[in-house]
Amino acid sequence: MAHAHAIPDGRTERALIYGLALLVGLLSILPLGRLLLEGFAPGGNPSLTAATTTLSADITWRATRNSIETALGGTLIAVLVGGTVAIIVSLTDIRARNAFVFLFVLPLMIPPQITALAWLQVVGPASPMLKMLGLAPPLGTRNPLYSREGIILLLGIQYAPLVFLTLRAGLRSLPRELIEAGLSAGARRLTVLRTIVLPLMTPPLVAGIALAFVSCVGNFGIPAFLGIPGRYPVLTTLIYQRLSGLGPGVLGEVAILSVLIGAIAMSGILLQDFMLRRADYRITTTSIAARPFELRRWRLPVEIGLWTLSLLVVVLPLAGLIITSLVTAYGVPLNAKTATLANYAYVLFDYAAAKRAFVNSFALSAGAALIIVVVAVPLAYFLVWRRSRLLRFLNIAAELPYALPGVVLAIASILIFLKPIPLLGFSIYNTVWIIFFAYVARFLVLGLRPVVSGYHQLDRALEEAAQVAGAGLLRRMVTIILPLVAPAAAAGALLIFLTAFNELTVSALLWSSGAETLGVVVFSLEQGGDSTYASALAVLTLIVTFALMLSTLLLAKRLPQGVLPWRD
Amino acid sequence: MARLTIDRLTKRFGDYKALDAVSLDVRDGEFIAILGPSGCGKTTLLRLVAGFDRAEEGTIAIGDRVVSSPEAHTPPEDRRIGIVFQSYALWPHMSVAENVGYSLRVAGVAAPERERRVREALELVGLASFAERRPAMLSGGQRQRVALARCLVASPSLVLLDEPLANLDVHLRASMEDEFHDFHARTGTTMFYITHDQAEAMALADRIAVMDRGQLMQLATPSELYREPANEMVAGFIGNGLIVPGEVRDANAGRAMARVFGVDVPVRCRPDQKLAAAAKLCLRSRDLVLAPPGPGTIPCRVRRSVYQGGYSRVEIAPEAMPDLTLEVHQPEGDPVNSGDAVGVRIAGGWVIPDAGPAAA
Repeated sequence: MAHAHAIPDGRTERALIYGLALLVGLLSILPLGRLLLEGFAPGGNPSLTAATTTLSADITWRATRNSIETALGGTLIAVLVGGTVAIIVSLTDIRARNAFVFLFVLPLMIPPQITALAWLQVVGPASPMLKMLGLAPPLGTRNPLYSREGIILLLGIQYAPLVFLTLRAGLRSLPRELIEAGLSAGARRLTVLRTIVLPLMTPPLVAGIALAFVSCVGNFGIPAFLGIPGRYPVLTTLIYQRLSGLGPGVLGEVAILSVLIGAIAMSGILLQDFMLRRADYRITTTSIAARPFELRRWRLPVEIGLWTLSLLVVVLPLAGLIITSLVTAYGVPLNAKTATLANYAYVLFDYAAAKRAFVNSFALSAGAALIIVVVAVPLAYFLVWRRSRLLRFLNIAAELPYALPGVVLAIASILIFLKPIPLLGFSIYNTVWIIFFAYVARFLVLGLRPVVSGYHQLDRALEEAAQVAGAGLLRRMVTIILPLVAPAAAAGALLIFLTAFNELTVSALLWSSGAETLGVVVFSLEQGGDSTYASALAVLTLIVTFALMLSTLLLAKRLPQGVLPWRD
Repeated sequence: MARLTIDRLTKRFGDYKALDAVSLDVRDGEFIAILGPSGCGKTTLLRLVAGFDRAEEGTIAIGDRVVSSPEAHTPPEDRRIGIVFQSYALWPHMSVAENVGYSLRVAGVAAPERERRVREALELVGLASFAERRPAMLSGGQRQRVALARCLVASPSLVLLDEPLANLDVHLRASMEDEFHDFHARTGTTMFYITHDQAEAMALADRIAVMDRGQLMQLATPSELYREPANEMVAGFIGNGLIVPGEVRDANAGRAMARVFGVDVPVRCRPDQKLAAAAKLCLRSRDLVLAPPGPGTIPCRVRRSVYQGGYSRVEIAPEAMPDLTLEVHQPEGDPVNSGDAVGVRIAGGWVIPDAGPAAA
């Protein structure tokens, strides 16, 4: 019998691994290395001039202090809200759990800039919602959200679901025997919670805290909408303002600022690592999840509390956003006379930049999702089923562009592509392709993680059976592995699409005329004072997002558990 | 079809020697079972023969072709072997016919020829009418048969079976055992069968290779293993042999006289067995008979007696060595109780060739 493939498997495999390594290097190591080079050795000559000027500037330290303050405050709120809700949802017998989780996790899928825009429609003197209710403060009053406290509050709301999700995953894997052993030892439920559950939940809690902190530090949308008008600079907005005000001439300075923000985010990650290494929290038994505590007469009040919370946090701002999108002018109340769909018509049909942005964001997100899945399927194959030092390193490298704040990657991308690409001779700076590069680099890990968990649930023998049947690596990949990990890859692609579709941080720094994204257009409309148009466009993007999220619930059964955050 | 030659094969995982200089020669068309407790290295051996893992020392040859050696490694897809996995590993996204025909498609066999061979393979395992079903819609036994058809459709030179009956219930096991047996008789394929179940191995294999801690203990026919175990491990593992110390006093042409707990017993031994002061003997329960204490019997005490239906399994300990437990099958109607003093008569046994320092 003839054997179909000419190349021995070992060579195909090696070529594939090195190809993937090169790609991940281009997407992760090259940009970050280039950034460090610019900060400390611009043009190849070691020099600390840029570093010392930037670091001795007053504004640098004010922004740094503000970044840390808002990040700590936002994390605190996220942990209190997300942690409490996770414990109640996971350990008690509340009803309609799935619907509640879907609603509570929604803010995570609403982009920060739209969260900020929506909340601005709820409070403040010109709020159409408050006008409608007759509750608006007198004109000329400052919007209370244009402040440090406003930023902290919205950061907390934005990332509470993040803490909720990490803690919920941990609580789900807590064996019921550990709780039952505590109860049968005579401890009351609150004592069990305090002395058994919470100590064992340290790893997910610490992970959630670190994740929330890093996300807060790197957030751009919320401080951009609240802090720029409020003259409260943080590092991300400082970088944006420097760059958009002064152009590429300040690249050395913003490179230093990016390294600074990267270092703060990194310290959060390392602290988590350190904390978890100090103690052994491994759970030694495995079993089904704990039986929920019965709340009895407290059940209804707790349920009312939870639903009120998520109505306040999710429904109220969205209502404000929708009301603003329906009035003729910002500052007028919504009634039969002022109600109009003209704002929607304008952003859909008349405003060229918005129309371009729809096309751009759609193409960028779909393109990035597709490319990443094509890379992630073979990459995850090697990460899960082969082990080597190179692969462990690749895994970390793939995580970095997403773990670090988006501005870090954006500045690094500018540094790489400012000049024409060597050998090829053309430049992608000021085109949509630089955004595409940054999206693929940043969201690679979003596609990789679900595929990796898909592989973990596969029986390796399925591949080995194909191998002994004579199939080479590439054929096995296409005929056996791809169909089996396809659901997980689809989930990853969807997650990438939704995240990129709503993205602002990276594109705010990389966009150019003709290469706008939806996030950028919403941002510039709001900055120009066109809140009604901004709200209408934001509502449209949210409709797309929610429709896609809901559509996934239909094929949820075929997905590995824990891949889609909004599916409980 | 081809013979399989394994020569001084060694595999380490860190400091742990999973395989230690294993040599094995499987004849063309032979059904060989690799038997051993878990962790004995049998799965490692299978993975090396299949080509999933590389050989560090030693060689594996299929037919005349060396497929594994420290210098060269033929990948599994080029070895022309078939495997039946413990989990069957049927591809859930393909129909039964697609599963079975996969290797032919990979090899570029044209559609009409491929369909014919798939149909033949499915007829061979009695599943011709299930061709269009998905594996998820089949029972455990049917999946097993599909896996078998899949590995045979390409007429591999060698079929590896990795504990193929371990996931089936007891009734199904017996009937699948018969099927494997018929199957081997019909096709004459060389089969390499991994199992930890000695009844299965005895029923199916032409020869059995007993492994322990990465080493090959003995390679022999089932009856030879049972009657003439090469060492203590095999003696104890196969058929729960009882091992007792004894002195070989007289040995000649396979017959010997051994002194066991002060009583002379006629036993079997190797033709070249030498006299030995401290030898080990392998006894079977059926060689032991309870008798009233007296001359010519070994004084023992009954530990406990467990009724087994028709007979009792009686555990006794020789007075001379109270830590040793012997088992005797006592017919119904002649009960003994724990604590009773009894005598034991030994009707026969086997001198374990390489037991103890005297034989070494």
